Amino acid sequence: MARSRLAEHVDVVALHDIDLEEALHKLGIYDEIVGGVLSCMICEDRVDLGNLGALMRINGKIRVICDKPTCISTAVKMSKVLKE
Amino acid sequence: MTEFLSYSLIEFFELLWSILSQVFQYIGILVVFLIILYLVSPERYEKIYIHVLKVASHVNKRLDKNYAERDIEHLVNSSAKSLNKYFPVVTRGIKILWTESDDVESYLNRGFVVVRMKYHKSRARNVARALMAYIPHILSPEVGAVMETDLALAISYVVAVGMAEKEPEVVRQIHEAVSIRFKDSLTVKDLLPKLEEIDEQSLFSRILLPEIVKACLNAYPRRSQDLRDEIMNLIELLYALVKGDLRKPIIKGKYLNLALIRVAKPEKVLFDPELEAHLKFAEKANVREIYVLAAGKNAKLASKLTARISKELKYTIDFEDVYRAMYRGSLTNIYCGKLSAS
Repeated sequence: MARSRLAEHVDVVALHDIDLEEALHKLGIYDEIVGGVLSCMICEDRVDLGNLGALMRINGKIRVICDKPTCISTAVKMSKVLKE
Repeated sequence: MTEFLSYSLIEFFELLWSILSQVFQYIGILVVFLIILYLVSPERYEKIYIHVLKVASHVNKRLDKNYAERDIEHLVNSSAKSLNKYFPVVTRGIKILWTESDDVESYLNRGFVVVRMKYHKSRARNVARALMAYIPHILSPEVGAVMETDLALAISYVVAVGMAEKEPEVVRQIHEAVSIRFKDSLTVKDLLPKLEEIDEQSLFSRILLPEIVKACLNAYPRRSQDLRDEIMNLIELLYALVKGDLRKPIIKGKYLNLALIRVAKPEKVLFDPELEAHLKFAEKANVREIYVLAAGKNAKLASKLTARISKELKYTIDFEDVYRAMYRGSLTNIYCGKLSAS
């Protein structure tokens, strides 16, 4: 295909809404997300299915991030630092 | 009656055959057109393919993933490619990796942030999320290692805004993230508008970004104060140029060694049509790289100067571009040529 390919690329791991429910069940956090009992790892706002933006694992525990651009950006920066 | 029926049946099949052959003829033409387009202009082919996927995703929801992936990758990678035109490793592309229930855990265990993507109705939001995940990695790890974190991030934000410039909602979301991220950093708050103004004249992609990346690669693996100072100096220099207030257009540092030569207005070079004064300045500057710049009708003169510097001072012409950009509030032809000491 005619896709623009570059020698180096950044992998962005994405989870589409089609697969979201099943993935959340598998991770064992579906009920918590639907119930809105989890809060964003960055801004501490309540996170539910409507505003879930990203997922991340820190110290073995799955953390949720809300859909605010700044929270997603901060989480990615954090993961970069942790990987380094 | 039977005769009439068989006659109308034959007529019906004849009609059906003629319609089908017409349809196949059009499909054939379309296929040939797409093959030619793919070969001649892969970029346009990709755009058409993305539109087709978008329409098809209304029918089959699974195709929505395919659409989102192609759409985001095309948006980012085509911009990254054009940025890399001025220096090969300026920025990296993006690859969307879909995860499902089977492998989501493994990605999380490997330290990835898994970004949620919604159906295409939320396209701007999806693009913004992908860009948010991409921004901290825009610059190569070597550049990130030697550059001050906030400065690297500010530059990455400007690159991302440039990539999404035709998507106002995405740009708005990036700006929102920027304003929160840098709310306490006075240096970056002061720097961002300058970077954006430099970008308006497309000097960000042609001069600033390639020079910064090159300087950082030279400095790697040492993070030095000199490097930071020289980068800040270049930003100030380009900002002064954009504002029409360029006084000392040379940087002769450890990492950056360049001169900006702006061709004077036609009335000022009336008695110096061969641009001797400009040439002398280039010779005296004695730098590794020279950028020749001009706006409006001066482009031809600037090109002449570039040719003279190349021939008489033995510099190699790396590129010459004439493009439309904002200059003093109006859309103008801008000339930018780059020469390197042989």
